[in-house]
Amino acid sequence: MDLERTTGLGTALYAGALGLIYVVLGLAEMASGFELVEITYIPADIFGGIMCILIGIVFLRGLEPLSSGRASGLSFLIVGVMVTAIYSGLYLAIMGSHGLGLLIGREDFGGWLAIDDLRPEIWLPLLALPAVAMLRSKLKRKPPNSSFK
Amino acid sequence: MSSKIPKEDLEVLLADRRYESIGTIIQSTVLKGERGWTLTDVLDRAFLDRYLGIPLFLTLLWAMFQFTYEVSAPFMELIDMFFGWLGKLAALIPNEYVASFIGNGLIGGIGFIMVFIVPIAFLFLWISVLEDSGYLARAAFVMDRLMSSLGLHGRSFMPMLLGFGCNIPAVMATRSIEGEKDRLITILVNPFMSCGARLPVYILFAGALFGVYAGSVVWSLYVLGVVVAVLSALLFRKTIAKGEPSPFLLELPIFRRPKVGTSLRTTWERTSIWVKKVFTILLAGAIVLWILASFPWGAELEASYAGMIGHAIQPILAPLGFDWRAAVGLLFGFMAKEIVVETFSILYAVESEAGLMTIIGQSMTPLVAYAFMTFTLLYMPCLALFGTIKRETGSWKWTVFITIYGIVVAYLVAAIIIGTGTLLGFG
Repeated sequence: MDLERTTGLGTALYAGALGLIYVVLGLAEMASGFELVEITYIPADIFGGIMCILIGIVFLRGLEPLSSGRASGLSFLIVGVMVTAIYSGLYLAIMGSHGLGLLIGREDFGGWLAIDDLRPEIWLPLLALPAVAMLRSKLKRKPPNSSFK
Repeated sequence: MSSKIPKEDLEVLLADRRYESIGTIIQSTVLKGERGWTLTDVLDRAFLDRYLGIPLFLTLLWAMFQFTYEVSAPFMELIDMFFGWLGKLAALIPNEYVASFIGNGLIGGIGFIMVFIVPIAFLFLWISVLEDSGYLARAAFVMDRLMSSLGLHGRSFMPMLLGFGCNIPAVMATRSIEGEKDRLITILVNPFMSCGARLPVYILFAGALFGVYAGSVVWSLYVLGVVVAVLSALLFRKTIAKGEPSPFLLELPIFRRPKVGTSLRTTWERTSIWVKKVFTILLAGAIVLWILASFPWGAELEASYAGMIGHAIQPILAPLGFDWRAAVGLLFGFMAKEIVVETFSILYAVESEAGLMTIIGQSMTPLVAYAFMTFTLLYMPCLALFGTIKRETGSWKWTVFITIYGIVVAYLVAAIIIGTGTLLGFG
């Protein structure tokens, strides 16, 4: 075992919570995309929803190794965080491009407001900041044994 | 060692022994301290995961195409506005032949295609970042699992991934594949990998008919290209190139933060090759198309030479819902896939991307547009790729074979899309 039991369980709970949030968000985006529901600030985006669910699954995949104290579970947490950051950057860039569209007078962006594009994927990675801090210290510190299992 | 050991097993055996020897030497000469986890150790656990490796790859690809499509839109609009302004200037030229040639031929053709420099550059930028970070080698590794289970060669996927940029260097990259049959299969399926030249077609049609899902439609076409390539490789393995794939040994590079300068330089190199193509092949294509669409001078477009050619081919494509303009586009798309887009702009005589999108949105259903994009993706290699396949295989037989095979596959897949879509009520 690479992690202390309590640390492992705590990290597992944290990864599980992040995973669930993304899966639920993905399902909500898909449901909105199929016009089953309409939720404020949740975009109607079927494919975006699928990607959200996949990100959630990456977090959830780390649950089992983390809860049994294996450090390999941290891999899924860190890759999950990385992908959420990529998606946050992506949606921010799209928001910026829509803003530019408004500036140059593109037809579709007449009444565009930045808040229209403020998808949860943009700010959700903030929830992963504690994971980033923890993982940074883990990567710097020597592990209890030399192999990464 | 017994002489009965197959060459492929021998290679694996040699590699094993080589690493064993390296391990023994290191063990006896190097005193190792306790090693901290490296970023590569940590990331590989997830990126190479048996179950998540491929979904993660698809997730990153989707982000790539969303970015390419969405973020490039306002920049495309700016370039479009510039060429629209040039078009208005051209209309002031008193000589009607010259005005038409410059306005409809050059600006309508070349200017129109230059709009797509932005998404193409963005696509190249993403590919270069994925390459520089060390991820692309991982993508080949995770795909190897899938491909090996289908009896294919894992190393084939690296040249196939390179095909996302351009199929020509990708076909040339197959030289690194040792097995003759493995290399032949990789060359033959490479034209199905969607290159940057097809991107303008997707952006135009997806943007015109699929609204907020345009980026996802573009992504789906790239995935479809991979699926058709893998299935075709499987078919070739079982028929024309029977045998076991040779073993795949890939040393994964460490993960590293991509350098901005390197990525930008690679992007510029690849984009500048595309710009050269615009001012050579695509310029020639625009001139030929303008002549065909403008003569006999004064005739209606449908009575022009382009119209005659289009009407002659159109009955073959009619079951797919393609009109004569689409037929002309596909015919000339053999020179270069971007000419498909150029054709539409010249035949509809519009000088702006927005104007053409509106016309296409009114003249095609989303189902026909999707079938048309699929046909463009699969139907045949461009002229330059045709030459490269001939050179790399050294055979007219295989070059002609893959051209005909591509047309048949494109027709069948487009027909399946139209048939299924109509049955589901999307017609």
